[in-house]
Amino acid sequence: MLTALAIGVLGGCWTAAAQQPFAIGQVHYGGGGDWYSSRSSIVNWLREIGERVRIPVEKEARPVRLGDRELYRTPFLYINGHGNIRFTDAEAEALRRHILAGGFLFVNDDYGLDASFRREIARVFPRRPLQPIPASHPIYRAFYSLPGLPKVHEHDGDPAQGFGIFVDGRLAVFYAWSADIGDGLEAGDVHNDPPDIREYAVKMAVNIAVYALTR
Amino acid sequence: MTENEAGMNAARFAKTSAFRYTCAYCALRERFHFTGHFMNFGGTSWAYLAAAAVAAAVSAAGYLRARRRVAPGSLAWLLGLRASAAALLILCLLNPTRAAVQLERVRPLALLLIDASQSMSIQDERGQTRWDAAAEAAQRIAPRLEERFDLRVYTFSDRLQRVDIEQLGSPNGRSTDILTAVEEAGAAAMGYPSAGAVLISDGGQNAGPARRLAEEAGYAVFAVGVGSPTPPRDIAVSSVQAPPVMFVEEEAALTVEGSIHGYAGRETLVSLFRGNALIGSQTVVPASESETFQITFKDAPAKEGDVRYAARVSPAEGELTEVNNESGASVSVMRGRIRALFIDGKPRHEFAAVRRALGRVPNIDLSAVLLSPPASLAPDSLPAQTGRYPLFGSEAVSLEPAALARYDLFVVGGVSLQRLPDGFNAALIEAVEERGAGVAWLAEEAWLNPSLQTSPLEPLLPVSTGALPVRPDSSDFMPRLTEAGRRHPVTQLAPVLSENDRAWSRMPLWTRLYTGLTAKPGAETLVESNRSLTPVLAAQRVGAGKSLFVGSDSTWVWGMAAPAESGEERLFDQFWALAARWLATPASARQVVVSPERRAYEAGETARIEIRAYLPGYQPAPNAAIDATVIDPNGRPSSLPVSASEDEPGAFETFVRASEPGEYRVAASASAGGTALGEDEASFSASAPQIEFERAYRDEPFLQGLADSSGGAYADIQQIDSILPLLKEESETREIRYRKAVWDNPFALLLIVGLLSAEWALRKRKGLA
Repeated sequence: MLTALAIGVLGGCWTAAAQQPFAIGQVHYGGGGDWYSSRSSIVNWLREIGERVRIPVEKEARPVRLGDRELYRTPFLYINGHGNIRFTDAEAEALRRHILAGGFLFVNDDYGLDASFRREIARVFPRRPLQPIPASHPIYRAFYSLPGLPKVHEHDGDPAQGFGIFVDGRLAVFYAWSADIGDGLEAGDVHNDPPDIREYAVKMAVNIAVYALTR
Repeated sequence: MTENEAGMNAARFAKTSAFRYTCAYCALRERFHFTGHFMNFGGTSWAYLAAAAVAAAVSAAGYLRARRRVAPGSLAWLLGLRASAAALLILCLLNPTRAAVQLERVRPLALLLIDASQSMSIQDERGQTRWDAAAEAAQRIAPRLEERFDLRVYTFSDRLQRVDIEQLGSPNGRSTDILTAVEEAGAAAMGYPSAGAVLISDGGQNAGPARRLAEEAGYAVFAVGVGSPTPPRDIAVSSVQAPPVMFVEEEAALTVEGSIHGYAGRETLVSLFRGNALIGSQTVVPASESETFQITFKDAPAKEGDVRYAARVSPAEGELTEVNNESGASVSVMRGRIRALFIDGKPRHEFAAVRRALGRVPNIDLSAVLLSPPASLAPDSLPAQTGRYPLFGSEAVSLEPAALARYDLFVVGGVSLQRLPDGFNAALIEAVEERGAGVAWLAEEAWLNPSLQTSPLEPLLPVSTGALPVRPDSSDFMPRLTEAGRRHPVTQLAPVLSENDRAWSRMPLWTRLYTGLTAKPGAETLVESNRSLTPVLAAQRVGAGKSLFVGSDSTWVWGMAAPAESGEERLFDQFWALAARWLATPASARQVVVSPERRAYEAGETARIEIRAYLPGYQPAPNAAIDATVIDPNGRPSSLPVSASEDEPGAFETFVRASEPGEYRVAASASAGGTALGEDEASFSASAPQIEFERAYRDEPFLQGLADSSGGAYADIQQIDSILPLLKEESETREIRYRKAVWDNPFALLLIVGLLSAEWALRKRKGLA
């Protein structure tokens, strides 16, 4: 009994969790857009991943700047917001290298960032344009089998559509346009979205994370 | 200056001083130039003075007792004589010396440096070889130099060697390093007045860059050019560029490089052979007098093993040498594509990163399976329904024992060993131990803690656990190569040892190393943490197969960080490519393994051969007795001395000098405790050195520059006599300081005896004796 207690105490004191917790790096971009928006949705997202996939997760978003020296410790990056996005040249280069090295970028169109994101990502990958991601792509079956992106908010009435950039056959940048998965991850009383829509958004968000952790 | 040279200098001065001391003229000079003399007392002075005081007191007391019978004047004489004798004796015991300075004239030193590289064997100096012309000229001028100077004669190529002018040897140096020769000869002559150096060479500086001229040498170089200044006619095959590893029945490119000088418009046939089998031939027709060529052949070897590719050109009439008409490369041929199975149990960055890296390895067919954990996943998720995550092609991958026979490599990640199908463990052991497959273990608590010590797979691991649970330490650490890791194929991120060391030293920090593990006795720790001796990478032979343990569950940090921090892209991928190839190559059941450090050498180089001996359980055999022999290209066997490695038990080494081009086979047998462990053999090839024939004309501008920058002069070998008057004939006068014993002469003895005799005679006369 004492031995077991000693082992447990020592093990707990000197070591870390059995698996490194999954972290979501919320990108602090320039340009004036509200990069910090919907932080509660990321808390919900992480919690859902932990409960549904049974892997350790961090409790809240990890704010990161693309110029951070230790950006590489956060492979999964998330861009959200409603306004303008602007990367410096150094940030664009850092993001490019991060993604080529194995990082993953998920961009949620919260309404209003489409034009600036497309402009900036074209600077990051001038020769790799965003491509439409068909509903048959494995990202829609990484954990749940889904028919495509959820349509959480109306925005301009356009259908939700996924776009992406591939690196060595891997979908490395995923842009959910006109879907607003981020709002779908919020609690029910934030936007008063129906439960089935929110559940769809959660499933898609879990799929995105699992996809990034397996490719 | 070498220790030997310094010793020679000292001996020379000593000899000169001894000679001058016997010379009357110099003795006189010594007296007149006697400066700063003083007495120096050796020994324990206070003890002697005390003894003298006691002796004086006893002596005085003896006389004072007899005062009534001796007149005071006589008593004073007696005391004075006895005290003087005692004082003189004590003075001698104190070992007094005097310092002196002697002047001597030192003759200037002249150096004679003769190029002994292979290019000097070219016969283009008015019907003679360059070497013969140089040796003849050197032997002719040496007596004239010796008349005026002290003379030192050296030959040089890739190293400097002091020689006798009558025994100059032969021109067999593999390269020419004139500048180092000038520097080293100058350093050895340091302290002498320098007359300058006569340097006879064709000027083909080819060992290292011509980084500077001789202005740093500190003496004048009189360069004497030998050989024709026009490039000789020659056809050379300089190299065969081949991948270090080829695969059975898979086509690979082999590139033959060479040069043609002086045969414009002439057809030259270049052929490539695998062993004795002709792979192909191509014709080269140079348009100009001096051209290089590069021809690519393709080959798909039919079977595994070591093969030597050789490229040859047929000799041309009048060419400089035929030695460089062939070059070769040795290649290891492995069986075809590697079939790999990667099993993990959780979505995680490590799984994704290793999967990506393995997926990029050429010649690998990767099947990845991500088993879903037994805990309650979301019931409507695909992994909960199928038992595994939906990866491309994953559904079709069978983990049944019979299906494992197709794999050469297994990678086990974060999966509990108890969750694998029945019979999986036995099939994996059979695949590794019997069939020679490899297995890589990615540290993860799922398989390390609950099941490792009781698992039948435990013997496949290079590490063992202690009593405490194994957990990752979240601190960052620096992975550090061990001596074994510096030479192991898995950790060779760069082809050259020093570059590989640098690549590992520039590694970003790793994290989450599993602590509480130790390498098993038969395993090699390739990389350890800078914070502890915990193995980060450990490897081991297991039967006919191999096993590799990766002690961190977050090596993905390396993969992510390296491109951003150091610009060293893809080293993570390269590591996994090396690991996959090494693991998938069967270790075979040999208990003796012979491995040359390199597969290709140049003739004249020395090859290091490593021999490893294993006990029947594949534990290293540190006390094994090793017999090793080498068979040279002419089929002559000779035995080799073998020494045990101090760092690694069971590792031995021997060295083979590849004196001539061709294939060398090294065989070794081992025994331990009188029981034979086995035998093995391996080969390496030596090709003819090329560099000495690449720019084999006399490089007059270089020699002229060398002479000008040092304050010397340049001359053709036919005018070598013209430079002799230019050597400085300035001798140097030097002060030689020395000490001489004052007491060590017969006058001191006579004086003491005289004083004592006088004292005795006086006492006799006074009736005291």
